[in-house]
Amino acid sequence: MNREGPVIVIEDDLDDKEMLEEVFLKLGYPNPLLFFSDGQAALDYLNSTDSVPFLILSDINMPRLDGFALRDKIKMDEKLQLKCIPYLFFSTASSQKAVIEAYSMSVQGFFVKQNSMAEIEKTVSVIMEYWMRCVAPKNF
Amino acid sequence: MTQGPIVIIEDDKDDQEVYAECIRELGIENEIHFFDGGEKALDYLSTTEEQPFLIISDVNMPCMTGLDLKKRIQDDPYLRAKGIPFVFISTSSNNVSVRHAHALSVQGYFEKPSSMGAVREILQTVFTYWSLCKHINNT
Repeated sequence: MNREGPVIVIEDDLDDKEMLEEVFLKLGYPNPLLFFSDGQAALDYLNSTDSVPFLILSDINMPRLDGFALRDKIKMDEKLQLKCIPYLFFSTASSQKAVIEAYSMSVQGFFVKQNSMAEIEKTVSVIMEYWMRCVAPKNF
Repeated sequence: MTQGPIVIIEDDKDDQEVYAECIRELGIENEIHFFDGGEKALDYLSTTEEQPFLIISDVNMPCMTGLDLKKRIQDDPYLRAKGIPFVFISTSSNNVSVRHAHALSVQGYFEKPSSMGAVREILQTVFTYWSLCKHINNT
């Protein structure tokens, strides 16, 4: 985890992507925002970059590689594990089953994607504030 | 706020009191269960029918460190399935511990400040986050 690193968002819905872009712009965090429309694209990026992201915000239901499968792959990869990137779900799918499965794999958070801009703004600022306060590993 | 007891594992009695006072000052009414060591916390977690809201643990503790405790929870299928968020608040924030904690999928690692006001602020941040989160207790 790198406090100045990019926020990785995996989101296949264009409207949701635009809302998040707007929210991050409004809140004015300095971190770059990188969007991927599916898990595989995100994984390819993570495997090819030297940069250390700040955190990952992932939808659950996505084509090619869903949120759970992506999380598994990152967990299994030694090189990616060393980057200590918090993995959060940000999804409309919040069935009890999904929540239980998410926490049994110890994801770092599970947030419901709300419809209003104000609610998304609140969620993003709570998330960013929390992880900004956390101790980050030094030297990668 | 999301229901469920708050479990705090902290061997220093003064720190326990600081936590208790800060949590009350924040107006949080969840029950708090204090344990001064990992074994006792594990006994409780393994036998209780309660579904705790959150576990806050120190790192440096005699007998069982916070990292060992987290590992015991990770390795136990029953405890892992309970899916209780686990957060470290510790004066020890050396790189090795922080990395180790992340490898164990800890859900937050905060440096324990010395002033009561600052402790209260950290707890506020922690509770705000985990209350907003979808949680096994609020699905």
